Amino acid sequence: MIKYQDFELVDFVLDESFQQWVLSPTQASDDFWKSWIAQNPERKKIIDQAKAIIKGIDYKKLSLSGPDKASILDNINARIKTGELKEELSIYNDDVLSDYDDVEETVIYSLRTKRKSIWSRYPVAAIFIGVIIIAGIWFFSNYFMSPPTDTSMAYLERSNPSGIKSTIRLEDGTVIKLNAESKLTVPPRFSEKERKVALVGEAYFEVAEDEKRPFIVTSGNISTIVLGTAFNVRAYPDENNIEVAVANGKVVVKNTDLSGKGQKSDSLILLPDEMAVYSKSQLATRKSGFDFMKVFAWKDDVIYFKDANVYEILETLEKWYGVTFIINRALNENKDFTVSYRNKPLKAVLEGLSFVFVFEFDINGKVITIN
Amino acid sequence: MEDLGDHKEHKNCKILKSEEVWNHFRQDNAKALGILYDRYVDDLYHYGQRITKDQELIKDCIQDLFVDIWEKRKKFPEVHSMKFYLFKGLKRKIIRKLIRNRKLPIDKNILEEYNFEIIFSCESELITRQISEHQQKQLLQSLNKLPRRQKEAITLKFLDEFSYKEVAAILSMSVKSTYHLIYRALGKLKENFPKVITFILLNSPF
Repeated sequence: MIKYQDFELVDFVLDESFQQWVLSPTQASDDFWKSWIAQNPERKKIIDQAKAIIKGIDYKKLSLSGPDKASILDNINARIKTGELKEELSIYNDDVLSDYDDVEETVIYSLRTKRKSIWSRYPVAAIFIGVIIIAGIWFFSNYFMSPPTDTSMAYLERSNPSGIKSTIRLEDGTVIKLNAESKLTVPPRFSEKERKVALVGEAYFEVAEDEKRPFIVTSGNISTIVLGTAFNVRAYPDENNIEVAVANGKVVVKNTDLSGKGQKSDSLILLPDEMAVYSKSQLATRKSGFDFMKVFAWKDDVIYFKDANVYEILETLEKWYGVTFIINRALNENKDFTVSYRNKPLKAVLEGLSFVFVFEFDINGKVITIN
Repeated sequence: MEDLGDHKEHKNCKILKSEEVWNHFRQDNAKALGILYDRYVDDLYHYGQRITKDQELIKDCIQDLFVDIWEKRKKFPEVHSMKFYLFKGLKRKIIRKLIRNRKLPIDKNILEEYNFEIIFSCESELITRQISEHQQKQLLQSLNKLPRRQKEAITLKFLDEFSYKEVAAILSMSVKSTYHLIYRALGKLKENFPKVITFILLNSPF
């Protein structure tokens, strides 16, 4: 290695193999440089200085404290969870993602600053977007539905856990939006006489027209029979009522309870804006009007509350986002709240609620503690 | 020039190489994120201080960086040097944020408004043995007069132990000009060590 003979201090400092030897020596580089120094003892001083400079260079800096480190990591984890919710929601509604990004900005901002200050930047009005209808409360678990009895073929099942909605397109062109904690069972192929599906939970149907084959949704004792229309069926196992609400077209709702109690074989014909409500306790079906937004908002990814108290709201959010709330103190039950949220991250929703109902919250994965 | 992949970056972590952690990470192992975070958060925080003095902004950007790499984990097939990748990402985030936060019109030299101070590591006994206090002082004085970019290059090279190729990528310039940048910066050494054969110094710049 003749080249090193003429090296001055700065040349050594700049030489990459020299640097590598100083910073992370290997057996080979160590052997090389030690023998080189042995052969050029007069250069040892320069070598040592070059080493000292390479190793000694540093700069003035502060270090992160332990709590700082931990809180940054907590924020990262919280935001990752929010991001995953966003991903899930985007499955259904890609076109709202751009709006969503703005909301995400809000969330990021609020994660990093004292929560109070968010209100000075984002007027309360911006958070309370909606002026629409009533609160739906959902909680429950999935039960297995009674399988349709008319065939032994393998049925297809789509089952959503809490926090997840999905859209299903059937062979006949019917589109079904299945809500969280709901299950839809469909035969592998519809028969020539009818199109029959079974539902536990809630779903919105846009049934493709086919006058020769009625479309039938069975949910417990209630069958909903249509030719082609849009309607919502809500039949959660732990709710007393089964509700069938019609957006357009004509729907027949039939009580198929054969136990002999209550009304038998009563069937109702529903027109748009009409709803059939079947009471499991009274085994009776009645017709009523309904609030369109309350029933149909969910299919457009809108969470809607009208005059809802804080517990109703939190229960709904549990199902919608697939989270669990741990409530450590009594909240003001007497306050009613009306609001709608479209595709908002849970964090943003909670920011608003925590302001109205005066609580603090802590998101830790899927568990949210309220203090 | 060494390959990016040869870079030695985890002297203290023999158990699992960063790139292996990264692979776990890509397979959705959220724990791996915590490991990467613990391993690099100090280095990243320190690096941030070579770009801006705004400590809160650095913390925010570190947050954004880790959220980002988690969200994009599946899009990156392979990462040769995790540290390099993170440094580059952090720098980009800090610059973007600095520009966004700025009330004035965008100025290309936003980074040059700030400079950090090079010191000789106090732990290094080596330096006090080899270089007189006077020389050290002079050396630091001239190093600290350098533009921030040159100082960044020097610290990335010697302190963070990146290869010239990696330093070049972080600074967004060619390897050749990076080398010259560092060379020019350290040319100051020549002034402070004029032909130091004997080091009983006649070390007056005047």
